[in-house]
Amino acid sequence: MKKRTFKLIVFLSPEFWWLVFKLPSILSEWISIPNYFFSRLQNIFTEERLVNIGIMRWANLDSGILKILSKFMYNRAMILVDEFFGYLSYFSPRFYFQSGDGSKFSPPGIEPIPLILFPLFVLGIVESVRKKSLKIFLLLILFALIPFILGTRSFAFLWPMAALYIYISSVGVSTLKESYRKTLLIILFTYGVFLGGKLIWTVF
Amino acid sequence: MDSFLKINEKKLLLLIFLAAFLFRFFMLSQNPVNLSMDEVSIGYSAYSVLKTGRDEWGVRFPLAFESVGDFKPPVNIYLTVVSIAVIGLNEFSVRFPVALLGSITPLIFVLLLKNMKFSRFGYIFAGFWFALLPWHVHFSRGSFEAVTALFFMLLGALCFILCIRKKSFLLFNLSNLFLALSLWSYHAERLFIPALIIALFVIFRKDILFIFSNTKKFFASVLLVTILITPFIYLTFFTQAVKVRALSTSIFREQSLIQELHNGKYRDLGDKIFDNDIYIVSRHWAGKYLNYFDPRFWFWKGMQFTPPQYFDSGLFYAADIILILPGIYFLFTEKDKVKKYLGMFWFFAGPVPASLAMNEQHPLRALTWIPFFGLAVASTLDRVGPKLPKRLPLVLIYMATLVVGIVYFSDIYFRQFPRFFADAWQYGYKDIALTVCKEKNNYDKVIVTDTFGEEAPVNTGIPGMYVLFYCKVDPNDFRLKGAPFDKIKIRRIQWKSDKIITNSLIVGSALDLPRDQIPEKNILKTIYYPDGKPAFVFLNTKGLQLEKGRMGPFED
Repeated sequence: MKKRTFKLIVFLSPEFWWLVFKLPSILSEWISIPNYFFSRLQNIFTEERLVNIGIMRWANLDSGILKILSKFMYNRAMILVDEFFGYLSYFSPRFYFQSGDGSKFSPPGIEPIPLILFPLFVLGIVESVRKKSLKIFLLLILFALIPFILGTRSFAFLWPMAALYIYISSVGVSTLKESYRKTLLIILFTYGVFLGGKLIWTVF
Repeated sequence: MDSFLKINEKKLLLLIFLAAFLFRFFMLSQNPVNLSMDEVSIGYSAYSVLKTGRDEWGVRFPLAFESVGDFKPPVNIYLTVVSIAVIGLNEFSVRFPVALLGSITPLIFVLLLKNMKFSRFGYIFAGFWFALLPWHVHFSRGSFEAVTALFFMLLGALCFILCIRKKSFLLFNLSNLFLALSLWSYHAERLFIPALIIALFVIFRKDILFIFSNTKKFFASVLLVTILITPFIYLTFFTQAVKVRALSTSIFREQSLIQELHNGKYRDLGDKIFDNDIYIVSRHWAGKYLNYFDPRFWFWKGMQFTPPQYFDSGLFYAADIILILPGIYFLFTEKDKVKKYLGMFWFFAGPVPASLAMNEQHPLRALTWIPFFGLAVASTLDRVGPKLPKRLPLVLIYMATLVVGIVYFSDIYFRQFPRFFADAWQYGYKDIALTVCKEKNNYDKVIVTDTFGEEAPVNTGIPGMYVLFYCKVDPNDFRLKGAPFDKIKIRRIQWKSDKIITNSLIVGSALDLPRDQIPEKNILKTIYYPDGKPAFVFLNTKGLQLEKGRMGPFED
């Protein structure tokens, strides 16, 4: 049941069809992985970020304990903490259920995964924790890590995350009572057809 | 841990209150760095009601206070009337009521959790968590109506649950009263409170039936609700008081949405089906709604104490990750249906009012969401509490991270925030008001600019309201004689013409005046922002007329 629901949601997700038609572009993105990686490394401790740290220390305005505290608080290590929280933003549901990445790898004006699945996604997360499906969470961490390390939010690299979000949503659907599930799948199918139509209408 | 919890509960509640009080009252008058426009407006309206029984526009005991381009909810203003009557008209008296309610709110929350049958460990430490919460601490210190509304909302929810447990009409009526007060306190609650009431009635659908057991008491309750709500309905449908705010902050005012809408003018049938306005609006709203579920917003960059490119504070301390994320799971898998369904309701409904308004990720409007996170924290503490003595290293790591988080938050809040955003809090207006009131009789005319900050002339303030507030102008004098604005003019500085007015005092923002062209002897004073940049310049025009020819480009 879960697998069938997963497949259904995949087929009803605009992002899936969009990426199918963008396969050559995705491959060319992948070829650029080394460039992304080295560019990302150079962009961690940029001049601008170091200057901003200097500003937050307010060197010319403070003295004594505040000056020492400033050095303890605002430094390169803090940039790494900032990066960690930047990494967490790769899990933001808005990205997958509403906005997409804003590049040619997301369908324009339409959500990558049907929006109405968001509550089911939350239930799916809870159910996955309950069943101790560690694999899902390890994969989530890994799949978000790849684009994060490359410093890009492109769906050319994030599509495995989208696939996992769909899978988790299907887990959420499976937690519903039979009657609710049927109703939801009918609504989802209707909405998915609308999204498909919108995608075709937008492109052509 | 056990020995700590063996302390008398009243003492623990007192400790929670003291922690909350300390975080909300420490340097309350000085931080935020200046009274905001809303705060002076609340303060002077309250002062006017206290002195005359009318607001500054002459309306007798209003239920919606007209402000600059807006109507303010009445609860905060009437609370401020009391504090001004006791303390006098100053920064502290304006901020006092909300800071006090903000300090009591964690206690109300503890009682709510206790009555929802959380463990003692869960509700006591969730109370401490609430007391130190950056999200709530900041807004409790700035006379924000949303804090008052949250206080009454939690009090209403507590009374509701108590009324169910005790089958008490009195508590049911108190619940109605407090929920109505919450609705009267802040805009976001106008949407959230009805939804909360529906949720409570659905969750307790069997237990609530006791209200029908006594017809007289039931109709008395209906009468009370009618009395509480009818004026609000009147204000909503027959006046501008509610409409103005709703229209001015609605997502329908966002340019990004307006540009996409067809307003009924579709090109063809395909346009009408696949690009219809209902879908566009829903998707736009969903984006704003989902934005509130960004973990970065929760734990790292949510409070907007610094500009976007700098480090900031999240709504919670970073250490709270280990309490909140598992808590969501624990809450959703609760066997107790009240905890589970109330938690689920609050999780999904909490950010809805904020998401229907303009601005991305607005922490103030999302204050209705705090109870959910409190429930999540209490759930985690409930589950892991008994195991904690065996996991001492984990506790120590959490405590150490929390202490670092508190120090970091204090630095961001007390040092960075005033330096980055002093202009947004109208820093300098207090000094301007006090100076012009003192000096106005020494000049023929006083001109005060209405612009401020580095974005001048785009930024426009209301220095006149600060003059009324700090000079304690008699509301009758202001209303009937226009005092003190017969002599003090609030307007944009017209340098070429203003400087030739003999014996006048000009207060301009740093960008209003050609500073390098003004002789030093004419500059009386300069106010600097906490980051060292000039904010306002006071100058007298005596002798400037004689400088003609020497002033170069400004003379044309």
